[in-house]
Amino acid sequence: MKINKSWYFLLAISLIYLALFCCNPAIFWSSFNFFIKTLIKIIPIFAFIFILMVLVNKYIDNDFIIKHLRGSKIKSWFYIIIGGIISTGPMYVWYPLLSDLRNKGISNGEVASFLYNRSIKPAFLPIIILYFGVTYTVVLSIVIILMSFVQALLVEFLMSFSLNKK
Amino acid sequence: MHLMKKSIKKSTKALFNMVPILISILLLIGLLDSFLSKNVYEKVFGHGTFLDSIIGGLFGSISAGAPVNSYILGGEFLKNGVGLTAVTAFIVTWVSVGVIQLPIEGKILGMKFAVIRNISAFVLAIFVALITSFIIKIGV
Repeated sequence: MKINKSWYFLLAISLIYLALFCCNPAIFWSSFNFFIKTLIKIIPIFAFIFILMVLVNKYIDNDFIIKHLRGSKIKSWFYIIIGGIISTGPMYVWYPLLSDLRNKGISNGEVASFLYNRSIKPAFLPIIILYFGVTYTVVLSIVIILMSFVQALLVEFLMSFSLNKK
Repeated sequence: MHLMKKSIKKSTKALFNMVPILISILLLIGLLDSFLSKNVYEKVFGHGTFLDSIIGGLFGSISAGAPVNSYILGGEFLKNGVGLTAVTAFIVTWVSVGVIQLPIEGKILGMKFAVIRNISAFVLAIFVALITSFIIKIGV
């Protein structure tokens, strides 16, 4: 069975806590209490995040996003923004699919814009709202979407100097 | 019903994969809270809005993992007196800039594209941070 590498990181941190428990119990309890308090604060939010994830996974899959990225220019821009926002999984999972789509006609700028919009994560909105508030979350999301257009233009402009344009 | 089961399974797996790193981050924050005084945060960040946003952006660029970790870490930075602009640059670059993934991005999408995309994403994250903080400051 393949073990997720992040468990090793957790093991390392746990060993630090164990060492602290033996050498400096005061610091151990202070850190551990902080951990428990934060955990209690975010657990209910994760229940909500789980529901959102189930809904996103049920109604939107990667094929749905890819299919719509190939529409007319305005429609494809709409789906580039929405696709970037609702796309799930690590960024590198999307590289082969985006490379394929680029070969089929979407531009470098659109690829960059898609990846930039991944900064907005609907499933994690409750946690960002918990820490930063609704106003901040809304403002940040709008600014990111607008800036993704700027990035598309910037990437297109800079890539136009390429001698080996793909 | 089958699709629902499948999406529950997929979401459970995604959440379960997040657990070790999330718990680690929370434990790490607990340690930072005990060991680091506010002075340390001030020393790392207290260089003015613009420079702080670059520092925050650099931290975010070299980090990896689920974005939820960046929100929790960013929230703790904010509580410890780090400015909103630096924290915003940190959470935006966490996802949009991938220094660790750069080799694979370059291999699949072209190195020139990957470098241009990451550098421009970093620069724009600073603008996103400055604009967002400004809007919040003027009280929309």
